[in-house]
Amino acid sequence: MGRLKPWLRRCEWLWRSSRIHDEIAEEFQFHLDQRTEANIRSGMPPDAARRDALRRFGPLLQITEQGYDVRGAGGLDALIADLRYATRLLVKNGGLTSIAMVTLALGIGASTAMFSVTHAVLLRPLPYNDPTRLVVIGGDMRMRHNFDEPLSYENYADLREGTRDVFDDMTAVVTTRNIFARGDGTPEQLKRAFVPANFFRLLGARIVGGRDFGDADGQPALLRDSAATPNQPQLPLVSIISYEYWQRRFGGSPTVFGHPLQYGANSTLIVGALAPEFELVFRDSADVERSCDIFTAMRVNYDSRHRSGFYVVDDKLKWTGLRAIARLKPGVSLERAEQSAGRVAAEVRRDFPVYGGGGFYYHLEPMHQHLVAEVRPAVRAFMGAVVFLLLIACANVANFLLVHTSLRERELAVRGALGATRARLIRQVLVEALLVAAGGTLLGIALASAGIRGLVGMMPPHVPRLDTIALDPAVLLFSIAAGLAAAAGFGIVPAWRASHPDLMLTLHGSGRTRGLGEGSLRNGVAVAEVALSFVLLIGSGLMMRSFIALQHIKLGFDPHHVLTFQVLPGMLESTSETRATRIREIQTALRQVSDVEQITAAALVPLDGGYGTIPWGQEAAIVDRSRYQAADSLSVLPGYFETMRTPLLAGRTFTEADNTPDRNLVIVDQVLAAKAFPQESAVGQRILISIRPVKPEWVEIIGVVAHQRATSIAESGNPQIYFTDGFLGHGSTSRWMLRTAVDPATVAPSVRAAIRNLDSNLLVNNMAPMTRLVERAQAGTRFSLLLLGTFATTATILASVGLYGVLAALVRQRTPEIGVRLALGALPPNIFALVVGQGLRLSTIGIGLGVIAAVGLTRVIASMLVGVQPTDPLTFGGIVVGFFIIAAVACWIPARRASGLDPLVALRDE
Amino acid sequence: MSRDTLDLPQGTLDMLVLKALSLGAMHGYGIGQRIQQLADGMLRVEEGTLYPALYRLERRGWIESEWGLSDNNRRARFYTLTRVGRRQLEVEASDWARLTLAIRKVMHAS
Repeated sequence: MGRLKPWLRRCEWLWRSSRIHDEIAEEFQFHLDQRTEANIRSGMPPDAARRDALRRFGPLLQITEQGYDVRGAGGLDALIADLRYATRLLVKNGGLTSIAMVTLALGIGASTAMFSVTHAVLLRPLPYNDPTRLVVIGGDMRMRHNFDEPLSYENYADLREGTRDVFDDMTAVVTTRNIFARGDGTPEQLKRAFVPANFFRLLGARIVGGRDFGDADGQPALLRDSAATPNQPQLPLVSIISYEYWQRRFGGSPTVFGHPLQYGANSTLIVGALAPEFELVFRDSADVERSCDIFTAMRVNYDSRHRSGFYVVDDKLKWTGLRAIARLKPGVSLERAEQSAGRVAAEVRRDFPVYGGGGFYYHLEPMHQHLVAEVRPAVRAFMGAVVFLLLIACANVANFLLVHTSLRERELAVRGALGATRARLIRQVLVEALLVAAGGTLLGIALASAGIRGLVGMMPPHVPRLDTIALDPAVLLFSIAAGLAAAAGFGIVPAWRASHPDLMLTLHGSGRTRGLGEGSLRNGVAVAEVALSFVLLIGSGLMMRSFIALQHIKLGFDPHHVLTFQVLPGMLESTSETRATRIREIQTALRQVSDVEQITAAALVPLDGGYGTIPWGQEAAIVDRSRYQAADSLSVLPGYFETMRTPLLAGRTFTEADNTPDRNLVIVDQVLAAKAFPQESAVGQRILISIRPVKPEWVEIIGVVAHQRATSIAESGNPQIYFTDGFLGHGSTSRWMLRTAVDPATVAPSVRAAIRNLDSNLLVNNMAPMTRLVERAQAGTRFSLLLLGTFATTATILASVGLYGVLAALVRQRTPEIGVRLALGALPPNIFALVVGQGLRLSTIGIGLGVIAAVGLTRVIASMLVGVQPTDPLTFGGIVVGFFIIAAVACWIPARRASGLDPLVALRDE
Repeated sequence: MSRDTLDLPQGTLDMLVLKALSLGAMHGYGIGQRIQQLADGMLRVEEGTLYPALYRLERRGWIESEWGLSDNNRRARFYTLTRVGRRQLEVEASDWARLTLAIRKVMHAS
């Protein structure tokens, strides 16, 4: 019974409200009957008598006939009535309603999709313990304009010692790739990280099998005065494997722990396995592999007194390439940590001229900020674009509701007169807005889930954590909030107007009179729409110019008809002779493949990453080491420039005879040549470089080639120096490039077969046509262009619909006035000009505001632009003109209708 | 709009309704008829404004309503003047008298 009671009460409410409605109906019915009777008595025929009685009631009766409870009860039943009534009205107004909903759906869909991206990329916390306290540390050489480079072991170790006051602890990581054997013995390339023993403890990673590293795992493998040969570590290297590799390779068996894993001539002891999905999340340019299969503890030998140190990587000793991660002590600010690190850097600069001259500083950045720094401007710009689009969509719907409401102002006024309270009327209009918003939101969510799939497909590969982008609950919440905000936002104004106190004026008037506020309100909305979409158009115009500029940049090589791939040896080739032989064998094997015209190899492929700088200098650098400058270096096989079609500007290219360690010959690009020898030819000159161990050496420039856009298409990058593979002791060139007579993809299978026939232990990797690398390098700009372009187009369409709506409403409002003007002798062209003039006036204000806003806002996307200034006058000018044309078209139809009005009809309209 | 009946000046309908009801309880139709008769047919009250006025006055507490039986024995809603309404009528009547006096003085000035 207790549960039944509320239900009964609800039934009573419903019944009561319908009784109120019935009472009014009955009262009116009584009145109608009395009037009809009286009319008949005075001699009217019954039909006419009844019609006259109905006519006298006018709109009052229509409203009660629509079944609306005019006096308004409270509670649930009233809300249901509101909903039912609003639905009926909106359905009746089907065309306008669906435009409003689709508009909103576009806005909400786009913003939800973009918010999903932002959430995954910018907002989601790092997958580590207490990630806000994590700081990533690199090194700057400010004098050489090198920033956030990896640290040497010495600089890492000294920083760790010197900053114990601000950091709980510090660790580091460097990743590489090694070839391991699969279960069946065939080779497989694994991603591998070398880390100090405290790595997983500092990040808070979970070990699910075996054990974590202990401090003993990081103890020096080689003692300074050890009699053992330095190539033979005395203690085994200890490794923890990823959950995925554990499952894939060992079926998740715990028996693997404590057993050595062989790779080439080396082995490592597996002691544990990580929890699933452990990732190293660094930004792309940090050159850290994201998901490593195997993590090996560095055995570190460092003596801070002599500042000589190294860590052991297989049978080699390494001393550089580290990314440091530190955990701030609770309550310590980044500024304090920077001061502390600054003191260590000052000591390093003081004690070591190479760092003093280079302007060495530690580069501290919160880990999350470090991760997203490269994409933040783009994501922010897109978020901005989306907010604009959402605003425009809301403005359009607000306009729709303003028109929708003003058409029923009379009806609302009558309802107010019949006793509906102001709150009641506001609620009624809000319910309508809410219905439109709900429909738009639902549609928008559907659009968003389709849009996210599209976005992820189009995204450039360097966006962090791309794979985690999905329509998740937080995003869903956002879109619902956006929908509600939109409803409240654009519902409140019409609702307020509907409840305006001078309702009786409207009731007495013709239903066309406007409060002073409305015209200017609607104009304001239109101006805002024009301004917002103008800013978006400018943004996409700039991106378009960038994209065109990108297409026209001289790459310094011809990417067409070039197949690139990597050939890795199954085992490390031990001597330079065997490595040289191996390369010749591969060359010979590739020459047998049909349709291959030219063959070459280099250490790296342009636009595929991995470039590092070496110092170069002239006489002055011998005494003053700060005079060294940075250049990208690349070792190549003879024939490289011919195959890549990199233009030779002076001198000659490498020959087979140059391809030995004892010929100190280099080829430089035009940038370096101009820097080093601005007045004379660089050919035959000597420069000082430091690439081979021990000390800098003089090399002779034999040729000057065009600059290659090797690290990025958009930026010209460092000057370039080329050596022969032989100069570096053979075997450094594993990236092959074939110029083919046909589509390079068709040659790929026979290339694989040729390498397999040569030696089945050779691993062929990263096979791709060169053009794909170029496309990938353009992907960021292409993506930005596509996105901003879509937003701008949508926004412009919406804005012109908005402009059209405002002018159409204006013409409808001023129809009587236009009639008077026509009657007084105005010609249709005058009327046409009147309406178009009004539209263009609004557009001019909007565009003016848009220009101001765009000048301020395009700075946000400055880092995404190529070869064009954020305030490019051509873009601004072109879009201003273009927008006026669009605005003129939007004004055309209402203006035509206005000028085509028959004065008599227009006058009678009142 | 024909010339033989007049539109009511703004705000006078409320006063007329109160006056009509001061003569006794009446239903909506009757109120309209009563005003028309008292004005010798020179005024006509539109239903579209009469009922809003009735609901407005009721909300202000100047009149109240109750279902009863009409002359021809049908159910009809009867309105009666409240005490507050009666006072309101006095106020409005004296205001109106002063207003018309003032206007007449202006119009008859020579």
